Parts: sequence; structure tokens; C-alpha cells
Amino acid sequence: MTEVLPEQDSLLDETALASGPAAEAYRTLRERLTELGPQGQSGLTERSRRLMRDLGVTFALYDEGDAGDWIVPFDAFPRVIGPETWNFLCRGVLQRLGVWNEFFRDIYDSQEALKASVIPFELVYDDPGYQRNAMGLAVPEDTFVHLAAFDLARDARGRWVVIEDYVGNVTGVTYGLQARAVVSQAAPDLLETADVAPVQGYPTELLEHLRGFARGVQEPRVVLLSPGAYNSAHYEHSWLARQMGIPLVRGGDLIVLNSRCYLKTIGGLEPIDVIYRRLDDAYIDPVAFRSDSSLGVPGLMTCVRKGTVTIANAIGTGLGDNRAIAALLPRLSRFYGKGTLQIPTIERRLCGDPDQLDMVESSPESWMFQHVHERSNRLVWHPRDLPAEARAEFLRELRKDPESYVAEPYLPRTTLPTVGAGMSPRHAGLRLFVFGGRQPRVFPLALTRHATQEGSRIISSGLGGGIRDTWILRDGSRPAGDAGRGSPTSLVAHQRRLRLGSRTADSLYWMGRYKARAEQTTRTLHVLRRLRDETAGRDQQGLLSRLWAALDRPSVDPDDDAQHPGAVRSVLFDTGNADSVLSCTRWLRDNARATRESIPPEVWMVIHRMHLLAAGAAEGKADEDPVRLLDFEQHFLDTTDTLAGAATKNMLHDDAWHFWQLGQNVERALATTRIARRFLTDPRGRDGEDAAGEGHLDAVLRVLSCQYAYRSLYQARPTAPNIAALVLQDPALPRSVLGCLGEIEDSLAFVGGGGRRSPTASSPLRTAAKLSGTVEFADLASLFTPPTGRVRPPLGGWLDQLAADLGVLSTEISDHYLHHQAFNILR
Amino acid sequence: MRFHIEHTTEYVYPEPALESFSELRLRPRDSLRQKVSRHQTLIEPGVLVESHIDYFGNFVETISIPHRHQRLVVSSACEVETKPFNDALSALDLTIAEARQMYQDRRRELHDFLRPSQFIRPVPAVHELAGEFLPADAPFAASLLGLNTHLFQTLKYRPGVTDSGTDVEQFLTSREGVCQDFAHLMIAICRVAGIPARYVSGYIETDPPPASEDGSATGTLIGAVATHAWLEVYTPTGYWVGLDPTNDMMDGERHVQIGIGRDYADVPPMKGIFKGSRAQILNVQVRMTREE
Repeated sequence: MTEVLPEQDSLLDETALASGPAAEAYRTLRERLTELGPQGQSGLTERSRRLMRDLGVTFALYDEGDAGDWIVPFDAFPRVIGPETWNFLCRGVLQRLGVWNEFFRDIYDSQEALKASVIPFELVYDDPGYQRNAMGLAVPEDTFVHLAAFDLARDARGRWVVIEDYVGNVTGVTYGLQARAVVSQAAPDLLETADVAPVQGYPTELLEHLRGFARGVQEPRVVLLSPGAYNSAHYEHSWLARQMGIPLVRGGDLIVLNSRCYLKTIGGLEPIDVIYRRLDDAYIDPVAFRSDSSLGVPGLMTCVRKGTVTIANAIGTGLGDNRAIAALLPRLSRFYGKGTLQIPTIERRLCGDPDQLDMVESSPESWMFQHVHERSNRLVWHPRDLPAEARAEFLRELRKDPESYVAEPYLPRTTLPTVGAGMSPRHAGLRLFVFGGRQPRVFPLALTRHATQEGSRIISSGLGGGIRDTWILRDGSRPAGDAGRGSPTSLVAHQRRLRLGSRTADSLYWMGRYKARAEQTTRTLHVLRRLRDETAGRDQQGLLSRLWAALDRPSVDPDDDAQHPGAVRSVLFDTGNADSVLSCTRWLRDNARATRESIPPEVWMVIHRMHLLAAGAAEGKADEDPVRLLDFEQHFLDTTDTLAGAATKNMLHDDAWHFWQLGQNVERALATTRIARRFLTDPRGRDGEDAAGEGHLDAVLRVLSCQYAYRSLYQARPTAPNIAALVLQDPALPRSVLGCLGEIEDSLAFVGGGGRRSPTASSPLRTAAKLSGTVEFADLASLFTPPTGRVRPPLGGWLDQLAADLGVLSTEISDHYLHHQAFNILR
Repeated sequence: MRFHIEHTTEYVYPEPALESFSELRLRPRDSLRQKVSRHQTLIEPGVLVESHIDYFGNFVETISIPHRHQRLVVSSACEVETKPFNDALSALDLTIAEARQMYQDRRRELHDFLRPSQFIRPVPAVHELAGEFLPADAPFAASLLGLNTHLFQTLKYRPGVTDSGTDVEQFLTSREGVCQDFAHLMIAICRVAGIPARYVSGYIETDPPPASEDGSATGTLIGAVATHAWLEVYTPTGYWVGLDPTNDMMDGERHVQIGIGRDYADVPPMKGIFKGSRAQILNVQVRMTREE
């Protein structure tokens, strides 16, 4: 790799630097994409954008308040790496990885490199990533760095250099995988133009890799420990966990007892063997490290010390974020007998060294400055772009605390043609992903990020950079790529199925409730407005106000005109109203996001779309235009059906599914009970003798969408007792209270409630079974008959009691499965 | 001297704690100058106690209580024998500058005890004190002892003014504090002057309270109401020598060390995480009896 590049901040296109099969692939790509013409190109870009949005490839920008997630821009023009270059890069990064691992092994043991002054000891001792607690801890297979990544670029002499090492926390692999998914859907024919190494086996290989580090366990269990949904990389965490088939957990989901780490699940405590953590050392154990952190697992270090759990990457590897140490990696490589680095570090200057400080201070505009260990996008300074005053200010700070800075020269910008910019070149970066261990290897997967603005060097997703696919061409002379080790597909089955985590079960349960609530509210409003149109001003005030009340909006005056935009808006779109359709949809989305790993992408997509639909309608003030409002209602109800279908079809019918179902059935049973209470106890509706009464009863059937069921069963005008029998007692009707309770019983029995109607049944199952019996054997005729001397029949009181009992059932489900405590489940 | 020490701390929670996990540093360390012949920690409610040695060589016990509890009692009992040792400081005849020169060979090993740490911040007032009491050309031993006395004379021992989170700057403002504050301040001054200094937590045997009617506590060593804290400085001859600015003395046979660290943050007697509720110390009792 010795292409000679001019020594300046010039622009070099990767397509021009490529040779052999890569050059050929680039040629074909350029032809194909140019042929599309401007219109075809923008169509492709738009298609990709939609796919990125649907896949949820977003970067959380929580600083922006409610702005939500930013969809990462995608470009269809891939980077291509030919076999020769790939093999060179692999050798280079594996060598670096070996040096890093040896460095950690040494630093957390005898510190020979410091004793021999290979690197200044202050670099290590003063770095917050140096974990004194990790000193002397044995790690399985002497492996500290289980996963690593390296950002690569070419220097002014055309050599590949590493511009950033990731040996503590590796990010971005998901973007690399998603880029392939987008290309294969948006432009499948493009992929066929070259022999590209497949990437879809990555998650399985990653799981297999991690399981290899469990100590003395037959069927090791792995979890992904994340800082939670508000971390900018949450998307990646949940996606990876889901693809690997392992639980995504937060600190509170784990508990340490007698030096063993357990996951709290709906079935009790499950021991954990390997923790793939995406949480920094400082937060991982609030007793051993920062006590102000609530993200970690108190006592986790005792497990590490006893060797009962493996942390990947090992505790203490955060020290590898130190850019000054990375700059000295060539020295460490020689010291550890690993020879000259084939891919050196960019010529980085350590400002803590007086000579190097003098050098960069003499021409600050030639250097880019970074914090020595902080990886924030904000801690980068470009004196050449700073106004004189700001530059002087920066130089003063630098002089005050030079140890905190490193400086790097500006490398030539290598570019790739960009479809989204009419095939103009945009600066692009490259990241490779490496598995560390006894047999380190590079997976044929890479992340290419690019600047979206002309002339820009900014490629970070957090700052608006885009991603594209990276094609690693297979070497025709070898049977398979680097990853062709065995068949990874059979491996996921080896991860013994863990019971669902309690927090995840809680989220799924509430997702079910919010979905059912949003659906019922929309349907009720929809029927209400249709009735109003149909009756065109005839005396229906009682009916409408009752329907209005069935929405459970006591704050809205029942005599208020249902057409009144303010009232409709409150029911549909008021985010201050916790029961509004928009609020419910938002909670649904948020809960889904928090448990993304338990939800198939197809289901997530519908939920995401549902939220966009509601949010879009709210923003577009759909409530002010009857036609658009009708359109929204119809569209929204269709989407809830799509969601139900997607969930049934794509979710495993496992614990997660049953909690989702439990939530929906509890909510539906409650809604049906409430609507029955409003309508069937009305004297006008009871016998259905006059037209108005019939209208009321018809409304109930429509609100509960069971007109057809009623007609096919009774072939007669609606009467209150018949409707009651249908919506309360008919187990064949999905929305009937008995139907819902039956489903609830099934789900509770499935999730480990014990045998139905048996002495071992859990308290929620007993309550559900008791309620089922109450409803099933209720004598409806007597409920419609007022007791002697009374005017009101007992139905109203009976339904009120039923609603209260359903509330108790919901609480019991929560207490039993979701908020349990260790002492409930420990022997 | 042989001591029998009993140290009991009772914690209560305003609301029941759901899960708690704690690290305890209560067992005195073994060293050339003291030997622990017996040690036992009892926890109520009864749970398994595990142990390990930390980075600084301290003995750490860990306990996890996974169930609801509203009260936690930690009792540590031990037998320790302290041995007489020579004064490695007073006879040193060199200046501070010479001492600093001699540290050069051990710069790496001493680095942690020369740098700022969580409670040790080199604020301007600390620099002033270092300039005044530990100038480069001053005699090493006499200056340190002089500083020890100065702090004892100008700062007031008064419990309750500061807490375990108080830093050097706050102490210099209030000029009242406890042994932990005295130790932190003197460590900060030593480090600024280039003299390695570390924090020591432990116990000190106090004289029986005087029977005087007016309640004046003359002659009583301060510290034994709970644990005590002092510091050690590293001599160019390779010894850590103890200075106790709270009592204007060097450490001796009546001092029993529990642990050492850069500052208090490395050796708190108990560090715990309680889910559900924060623990409050209801009662601490330390009984230290000399066995003849």
C-alpha cells in the first residue's frame, strides 16, 4: 500500500486509488449509478432514507428536547475494498490488537513497560481509565480486548494509518450491518455486480465469540449491559442484543448475591456468565467505582474477582481511550516483541512533552487538537478555523494544561462519489471491527461514514455525517472469507432460553395496554362522529354524551359538541392528556424503544409508523378538517390492525408475546366493561323498543366492532340483554370480557403462573380464574331485573365491581411478575 | 501493646431498603509495626461476608443483602499487637530539596501520593502554607514536625462542623473539623511541597477521661469516639512515618492502622449502595481496651 499522494490537504478519490477487482467494481458502480440520472438517483436516495427511517437507524439527539431522533443519512455508493488491501488491513489491525491486549495484561499486572520507561508512567497513572481496582485480576484466556475497532485513513505519503483506536468500547458495527440491509433492499441489483463477502452472520459470530470467554460453564449465558434508552447508542445496543438473541439489560436488571451475578426474570433469578457491556468502567459498579452512578450493578467487581462472570471488554480497558498511549503504540509493540507496526498511529503529538508542545505551538494552524482521553465530538479544536481571539484563548488553555491535549496533522481527504450529492465526492472514513482472544480475527464487515457537506471532514453520525455500505470483495482463490468458520446459524439455539427480564415484561405489558387504549379511543371517537353525521341533528344528545363519556373524559363537558375541534383535539392529540391517542401512541413507542431487542423489526416499524401518523396528524391539525380527520381515524385503525398482524406473525409466541397480549386483554376487558356500563344500564337502551334506544344499542355494537357478530348470532334487532350476553359472556368474541379473561388465563398459565385452577396457581391466575367464573356464570336476566321495590337493575353495580376487580388483577400481575424482589424468588 | 477493639455501627433506613451491597474496610492491616491475631466481622441481618485485598493492600469485606431490611448492624472485633519502632524521621539531616531529589528514583511508585486526589486539591491556600512551612531549603524533619504542630495549634478539633465529603478548601475556611480534615490538609501541603504523603485510617487509644469537675478534657487524645485518621509521609530513607496533626504527635504504639490510601475516598469504613432508601448512621461505638 504505497500509493504516493501529494503532501497537502488535497482531495483524493478512493475510486482512483483502487486497483484490481476493487477498481473494476468501482467502475461498474459508477456506470450503473450514473445511468440512473438525477431523477433515478434522488429516487434511490429517498428510498434509502425511508428504509433507514423504518429500520430506525437513528441517532438520538436528546439535547434537542422533543426533536427526537435524527435519521442517519445513507448513500447508495459503497466503498469497495479488494482482497489485497483487505488482507493487508487485517494483518495490520490484528497486530495492533495484539499489542493493546499485551499492554493491558502488563499494566494490570507487573507494569514492565512502565518500569522500563517505554511510556511515561504518568500517562497511565493520571488517566481516569486506569482502574486500580482491576489490578491483578485474572481474565479468561488472558484476554482484555474481546472486541476492538480501528478508524483508518491514509497519511500524506499514502500509507494507511490508524487515526483512532477503540479497545474499550466499540461502537458502529450496527451501522455497518444496516448499511448492507439498506443496499440490499433499495438497490439489490447493485450488490450483484460484485462478489461481496456477506455480513449477516456477524451477530451470531459475536455471540459465539463472547460465549467462548465464559469460565467453566456448559451453556454460558450472555447479556448485553446498556446504560439505557437515553444513551445515544441505544439503537445499536438493542439491535445487537436482538440479533444475538440475548437480553438487553440495565444495571437494575442484574443483582449480585454471594459473588454471583443474576438476571431478574419473570421466572426468578438466572445466573449470568458473560456480560457484554456497553457501559464504561466508571459506571459499572457503583460500590467499586463511582458511587453517584445508578447505571451499574453494585458488587459486580466481587464476581469479576471470584471469576464467576466475564466482562467484555475487561474492566480497565477504558485506559485505551488515551490517545497519547495509542500514539506510543509502536514503542510498546517493539517492547512486547511484536515488531514494527504495519499500520502505525497517525503522527500524533503529545502536548505534555515540552519539545512536542513547542513544535505545535509554533504553527498551531497546521494541527488539529483533541483531548487526550475524552472522546466527545465537542473536544476537538481546529486553530486554523478559529478567529484570532478564540485561537489565542485555546492556546492559553493548552499552555495551562498541555498534558490534556494531543495534536494531529491534517491528512489528505480521501473521498467517495456520493449519489445523494449528484455523484460528487465527499470525504469518507473507514472503521474495521476485530474479535480479540486466543484466535483473533477480523470479520469482513466495515463501517464507512461520510461527510454530507461539500469540503467537510465531519463524518460523525452525532454531527450529521452519513453512512454507506462497505464491500469487502471475496478472494476468488480462497473458498470463503475470513468469517467462514463453521456454520454460525446453529449457534443461537445454544443460548439456553432465558426467561424474560422483568423490566422488559413490564414494558411489553404496557405496550399492550397503550395500543389497546389508543385503538379503542380512536374507534369510539370515529363511531361517535359517524353517528352524528348520520343522525344529522336529530335528538341524539343523550347518546352522544354517553359515548363521549365512554372515552372517560370527565373533564370534557358531555354536552359539548363532539364536533368541537377543541374537544376532539383533546381526545386525540393533547399530550397533556395522558389518555389521548397521541400520548398512548407515544408511550407505546417509548416502551417499544426501551425493549427494542424483544420486538421484531417488523413490529417496531409499524409502531414507529403509528407514532409518526399520530404525531403528523397532530401537527397538521387534522382535527380541524372533518375529511382529514376521518382519513386519520381510518388510517390509524388500519395501522393498529397491521400492528396486530405483524405481532402475531413475527413475534415468537413466548413470554414476551404473552405479556404484550396480557396488556391488550386487560385493557380490552376494561374498555368493554366500561362501555357496557355506559350503555346497557341506560333505561332508554335496555329494551330497544324505540328508535332512539335502538340507536344506542347499535352504537355499542359499533364501538366494540361486533355488529356482524351480533347479527349472525341473533338475526334480530339489538336488545340490551342479548348484547350483554355477547360482549360480556361470549368467549368466541375477541373483545368480550370472558374472551379477554380466557386469553389472560392462558397467558398467565404460559408465563409460569402454575396450573389453571390448581393449588399451585399464582395469585394473578387465581384472580383471573375467579373473575372468569364470575362473568361466565353471571345470571344476566336477574342483573337486568330491578330487585323488588327498586327501580334500578343491579347490572350497573355489578359492572362497577367487575371493573374494580379487573384493576386488582392488573395490579397483581405487576406485583407478581414485574416488580418482584429478590426475596420473593430466592429459595 | 496488645489491644482488643470492638467497632459496631448501626445503620437504619427511613424506608425499608430493597437491596443493598456494601464494602467494608474494618480489619486492621498487617505490617511491620502491627500484627492482627484475630478478626471477625458480624453482620445483622446475617449474610455471607466475602473478602479481598485492594490496590493499596487494605483488607476489604463485601456483603450483599438482597431482601427488605430496615436496619443493618456491622460489628468488627479484633486483637492487634502493635510493636515499638524507631523514630525514622527526627534524626534525618537533610533539606526538603535534598529529599525531593532522593525521591526521583522512586517517582513511579510514589506518584499516587504526590498527585492531587479526590479530597486533596492543591488550592492556593495550600500552596501558601507549603511555601511558608515546607520551603526547599528548610530542614526536612523539623519542618514537617513544625507543620504538624502549627495545624494542631491553629485549627480547632470540633466534630459535627464537617462531614466525610468536606474538602481541604472548606476546612481552611471553617478552620474547624475532625481528624480526617486535619489529615487531608496536611497531606495536601506535603504533596504540593513534593513530599509523598498518604492517608491512614485507624484507631487510637485514648486516656481515660479526666475526672475533673469542669469537664475540660486536657491530656485526652482525640479520636476514639469513632475511628481516627492521620497521615504518613515517605522519608528519603524509605520509610513511611506517621504524623497525627489532630494530636500534635507522631504515631506510636497507641495508633492502630486499618488502611491506607490516597485520601479518605480510598479507605471509608463502609461504602454501600442501598436500593430504595439511604442508610443513616444511628449509632457508632468503638471500644479499644489494652490487654496487659
